[in-house]
Amino acid sequence: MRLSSFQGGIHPPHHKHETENKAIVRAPLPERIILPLSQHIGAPCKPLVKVGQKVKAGEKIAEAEAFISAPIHASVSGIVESIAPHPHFTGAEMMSITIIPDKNQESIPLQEIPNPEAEPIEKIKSLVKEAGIVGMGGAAFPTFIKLSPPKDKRIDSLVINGCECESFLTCDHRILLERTEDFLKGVSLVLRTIEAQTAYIGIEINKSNAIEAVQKCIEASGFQNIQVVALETKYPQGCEKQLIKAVLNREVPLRKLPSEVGAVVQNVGTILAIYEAIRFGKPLIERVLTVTGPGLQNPQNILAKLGTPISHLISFCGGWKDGPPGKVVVGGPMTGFAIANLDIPIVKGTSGIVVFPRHMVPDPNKYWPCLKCGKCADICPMFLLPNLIGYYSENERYREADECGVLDCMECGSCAFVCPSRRPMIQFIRKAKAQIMAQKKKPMVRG
Amino acid sequence: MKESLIVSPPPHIKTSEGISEAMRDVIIALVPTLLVAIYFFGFNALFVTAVCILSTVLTEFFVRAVLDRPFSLNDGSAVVTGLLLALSLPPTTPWWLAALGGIVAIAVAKELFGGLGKNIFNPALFARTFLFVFTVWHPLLEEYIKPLWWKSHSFTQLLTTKFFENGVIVTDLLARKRIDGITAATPLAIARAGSPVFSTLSGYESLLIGNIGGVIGGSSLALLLGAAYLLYKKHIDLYIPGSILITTALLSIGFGKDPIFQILAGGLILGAFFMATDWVTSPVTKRGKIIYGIGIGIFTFFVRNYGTRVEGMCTAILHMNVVALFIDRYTQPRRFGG
Repeated sequence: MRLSSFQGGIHPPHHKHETENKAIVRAPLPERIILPLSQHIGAPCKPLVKVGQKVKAGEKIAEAEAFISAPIHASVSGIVESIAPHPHFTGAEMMSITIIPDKNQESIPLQEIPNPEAEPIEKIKSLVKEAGIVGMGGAAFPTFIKLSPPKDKRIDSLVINGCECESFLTCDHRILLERTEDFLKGVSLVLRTIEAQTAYIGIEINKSNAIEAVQKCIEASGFQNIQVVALETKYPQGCEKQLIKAVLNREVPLRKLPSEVGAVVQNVGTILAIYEAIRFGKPLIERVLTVTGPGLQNPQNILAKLGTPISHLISFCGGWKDGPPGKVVVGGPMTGFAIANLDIPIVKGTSGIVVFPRHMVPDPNKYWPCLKCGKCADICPMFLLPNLIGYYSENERYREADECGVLDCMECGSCAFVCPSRRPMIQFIRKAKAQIMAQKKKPMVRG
Repeated sequence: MKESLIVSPPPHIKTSEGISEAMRDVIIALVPTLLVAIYFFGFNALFVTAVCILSTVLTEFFVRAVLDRPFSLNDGSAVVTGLLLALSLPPTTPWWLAALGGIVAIAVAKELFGGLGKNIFNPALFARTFLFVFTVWHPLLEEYIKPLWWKSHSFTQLLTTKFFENGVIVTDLLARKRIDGITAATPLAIARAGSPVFSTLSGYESLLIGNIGGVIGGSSLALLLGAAYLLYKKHIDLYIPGSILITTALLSIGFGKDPIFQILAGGLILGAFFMATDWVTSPVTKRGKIIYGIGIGIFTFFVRNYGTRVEGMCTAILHMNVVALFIDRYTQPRRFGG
């Protein structure tokens, strides 16, 4: 069988075996839940609760005011301890609502819909918005917006990202295996909501048991218009544009959205969250994530309440292994954020936590000049020349970096992975992007 | 839980293939060529190679110490430069000339331009050209010994080596110019002189295995074996060497020359696979690599066949080195979705 894929890309070690055969387990409640008021791309929310107030699980505690935003719900029942800045995985401090969980957990009554297929599309979209669902693969873009593509674009395809191309992470893999039918019901629901003809579920071939399970369930339960597409195992297969290329053989134009080529992309975890929100009335208050890495005693796939501090999950996985920890990454190892503070909570977009022991973390400041080996240019999935961009950014020649297309870089990190000189490519790229954007915002000065 | 954690931008995993691993692979790839050279040219080949490597390594050490630059010897690039320089020199190169070549390669061609990664010219070829210009008044580098010269001498004769004469390891029998039949013209020189090449060579196979008068890195077969290893390890690709070979073959056919001879003689294989593919001094883009290779092929063909010099590979690569960066800039690929 010839597997679909895109051009370029890299083959980092998978490191999936640590957790791919472990069933999802529920994490115990932590002592404290910390819910940042921004867990999505877009404007932060406005709190609806006061310090000292009692809240129930599922209760809306912060409201979205802007269009691109998503409301936040209490993930546990308990007392609001504080509304104050708290460290966030991006490195900044962010206004966060802290809740001390009760002994006896209470939930708000949930509005079940036994037959979601009969509900009008507009109602489904508003329920998804009210449930606070965002893209759960990491980018955290509010989902209801993606469910309402521009009217002038004809959408024919729903593409489900089941690639999980990041090393170490297996949470989507486990959802595909353990929640196959619910997941497929969610796909059907979303397919109807965006009024597309066919749903394609792209799964990398290193998860062959998931491909099989989904295929079997489609046949057994008679799902219509859903196809499984086996993809080559290659990073960044799960990047939206690369996935569309692999599955539909369509190329999304530069700086345009997937709707341009008639596609909407959703991640596996997001689909499950949408299904649970519609069918069971459950807002987004918990998620499956993979807590793993060579620096952790017992890596696991965990169903955890949003707002659970990372330290709590690390203890739940048996603590450090192989000496003191060197790096704790929120997200996948290719694009995730390294954090300095373990009180940082998991949020809607947190798909994993990867721990590396100290001896495995090289000095990030130790790198060499570019040797122009061209390995980065060979693998760049956007067909850029990262070597030139890095060189120009390092030497503060931002205009030339702009000409080389630095703004079209999606920061997948493949160039930095292959670089024999260990150059911090993403650092160079972000620096150039920030400088160019600042320059473009400045008013024109006549002189 | 208070731990001191390292915070740095992604990605948090990187390939284990660093610079030193790549340089190690280049050295491995050149070992067969060196072994063949030792077989054909005797101890001289090994001696010149050792001097070149020692010279490049020591020069890098001293220059970096003087310039207060961090030491980079462990990346192995100085060893590769020394090795490539040696392979491009005749086995009878005097030791002091080989050492001078190493000094020029590192101090001038590499460190003066800012060190590894910043050099414009291929350091080994820059030094080689320097040596040929330096010795223009004296044909120290224009003489090549016959392969397997040592076979006609008994072991005892070889043992009574008079070690140095003009800085060359010689046996009494090898005292050049005194004994006839120990020196040999290079195949290209024979061809340029208008003599039928295969009257002195048994055939293509002697060109292929390196059983010819020429530089240390003269065995095309051993070089191709090493090149195959570098291709397998993905340190080089076929765009540059392929376009050099194809250009050479097409021009040969067009101008009535023997294409196989043109490809196997005059260090074309050494240049195409090991010198022109030097990361730092060659283009990065696919189209750029093809243009670069075609340029080298055209330049080499006309210089070696119609120019004032017998060989043209080295000069061709150095000239194309200059434009490599410009080629990259004007051959940027189409962006995904663009």
